[in-house]
Amino acid sequence: MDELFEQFMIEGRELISQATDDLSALEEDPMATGRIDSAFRAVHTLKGSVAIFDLAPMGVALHAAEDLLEQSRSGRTVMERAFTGPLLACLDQCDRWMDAIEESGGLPVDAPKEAVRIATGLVALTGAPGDIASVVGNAGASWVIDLVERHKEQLADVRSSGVDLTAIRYAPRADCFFSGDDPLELVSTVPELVAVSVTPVEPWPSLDDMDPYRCNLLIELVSSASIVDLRQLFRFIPDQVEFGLIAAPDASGPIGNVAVSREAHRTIRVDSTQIDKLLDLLGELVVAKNGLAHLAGLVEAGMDPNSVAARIRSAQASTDSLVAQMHETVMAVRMISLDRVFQRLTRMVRGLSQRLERDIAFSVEGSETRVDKSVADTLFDPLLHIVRNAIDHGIEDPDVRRARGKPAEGRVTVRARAVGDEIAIEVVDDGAGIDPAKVRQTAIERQVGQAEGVRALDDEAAIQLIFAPGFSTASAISEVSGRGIGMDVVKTTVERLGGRVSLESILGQGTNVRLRLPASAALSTVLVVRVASDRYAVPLESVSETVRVPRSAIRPVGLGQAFVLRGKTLPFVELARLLGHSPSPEMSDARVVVVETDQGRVGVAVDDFSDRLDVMLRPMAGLLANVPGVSGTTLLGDGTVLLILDLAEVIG
Amino acid sequence: MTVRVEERVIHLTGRCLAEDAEPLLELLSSGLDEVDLAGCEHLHTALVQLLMAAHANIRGELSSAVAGWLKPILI
Repeated sequence: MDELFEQFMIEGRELISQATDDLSALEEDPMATGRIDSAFRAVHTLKGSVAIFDLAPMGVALHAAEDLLEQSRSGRTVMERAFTGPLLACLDQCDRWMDAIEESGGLPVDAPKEAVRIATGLVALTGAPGDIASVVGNAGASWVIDLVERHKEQLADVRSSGVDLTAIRYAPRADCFFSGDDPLELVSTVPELVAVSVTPVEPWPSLDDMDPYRCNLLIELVSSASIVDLRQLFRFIPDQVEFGLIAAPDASGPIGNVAVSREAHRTIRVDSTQIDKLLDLLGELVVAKNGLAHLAGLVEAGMDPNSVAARIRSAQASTDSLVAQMHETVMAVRMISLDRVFQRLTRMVRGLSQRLERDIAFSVEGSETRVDKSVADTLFDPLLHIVRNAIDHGIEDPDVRRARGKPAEGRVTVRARAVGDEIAIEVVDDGAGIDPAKVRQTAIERQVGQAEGVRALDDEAAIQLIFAPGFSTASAISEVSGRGIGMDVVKTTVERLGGRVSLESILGQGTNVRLRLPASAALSTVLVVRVASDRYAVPLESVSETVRVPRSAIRPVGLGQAFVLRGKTLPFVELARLLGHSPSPEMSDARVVVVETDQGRVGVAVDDFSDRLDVMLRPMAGLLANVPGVSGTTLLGDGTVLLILDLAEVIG
Repeated sequence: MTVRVEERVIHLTGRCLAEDAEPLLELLSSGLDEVDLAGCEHLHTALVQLLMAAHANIRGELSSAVAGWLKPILI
């Protein structure tokens, strides 16, 4: 991706979000005229950037939006709610298109149709005469397409060689001859011209009526030179030129897209002081590294090993602190605000409430809360699912709500805040709440748990059953909450991020789903255990303690084994067996890692415990991503790869 | 003289600039429509525009840099 395009992706999102904010504010207060100006500027700028790229449909939609905003701005129409809705929908669509561009490099095939639909709607609102065709004609980059179409043959060769071309639309001012301009002279200096088209702007008048000093020409060019050089050339008349990019037909483009899942590639904006800080740290690290050579020299010179060792220790200590600082800085760089996640969420909710014809007052708070990029990227799906559930199952029909003395409009709020190293996110609705009796019944029907056990649960514990695997089944999933993911997936996703979910609900008053997540993908501490000749790591947070248990204290119970720890009986399993190793030789004492699982604590026997290490967890990727029981890998100092076990899953 | 008429053909020669537009327009309006560009080194946009508007019959090769591009436009 070239730099200009990357810049566009970042700025485009920002502009969409700016305009969306403004319009949402206008929805609340139609008199906030400053917001109209701000929204207009954002849309105008975005339309301008869109024109540089081959994104004509987006330009068409934005052009119509701009017109409508312009009208309200000049006071010809009042910014009514009837306007903000379609305008927001237009921005939502642009945001979705940005997603598509990011994923596949181009607009989806239905984009032109969709754009015309949006533009028609918006044009109708302006009440202006003129049909959509004129809008399309004026809009953004449609001239680029026309130009390419007209010069198809001339461009064919160059295009097939895979070169990106730049289209230039040069409309000299009518009085340009008086300022000494000679437009075609300027054109003759354009490097690497591929096609030129010169047409009259208005039909030629008869020669008798012709003003020989009035320029009536529109000059359109295609050049294979870089857009930067071309802009430079036209830098004195920026008001008379427009640029457009004619992307080379790309075999790996949207259509030929290969079925390789692409890692979400996202650009983040970074404060330059953070980069400077990293550079400083890097400098210090280089100094520390050079120190090692000096130490090696000392050993070679026959210095006393003990005093060398002391120096190595101190070198290690200073490197340690540098690495820690670098880690901290890089993590800070990766922190992004939840803005984008919340915006997408708002967008989806708008679409959803329309489809369900349900009035929802959806609000987000704390979108400035910063989290690690990986957390932000993963968070959207679970949040969306919770919000969907709230709207689909939580919020009652308006009649029911009125009967219960609630405002007809359902309220769903997503709130985020930072709590120490963690972030807390709440999804609160004022809907019907969750009926524990119904949950119990469903859980029993779907055999989520033992009937007796389920009946014995108190209300608060019973509603947590909705997180149990198998609770949401296909038949229970409506079209809206669909997509085949249930609350159990929400729970696992959040847990995979190192977080947890809880649920509170008061029947008739509403539901509150709380997420707690680590804000950053920090170093985590693992316990290294040995089984036969292999070493594995276990995240320390899942280990409640390590104990030595005499073999004699381990008793067979039913098909399995168990032992008693401080008056409680815990199941006993051997990791060697679970992993398919041959059973370990019987030692007089079993070394047991006590692990917290959903089914309570379990003792897992290993051959040995060794160190605790601070490691960077790397999630498994590709084919290995779904290997059960393994949550990631990490690299040890000696270069060996350590598998990080998810013991709860291994025990199954 | 950059604009002159010989046997009902308008000849543009040398560097033809914006100020030649008015005399050229007069000639074109008077019914002349044959224009010879051989010997023309530069044709100002104002003149190109007139030739386009008048649908003039062009003969002779222009020797300016944009000649190749102008040719199809002036036909």
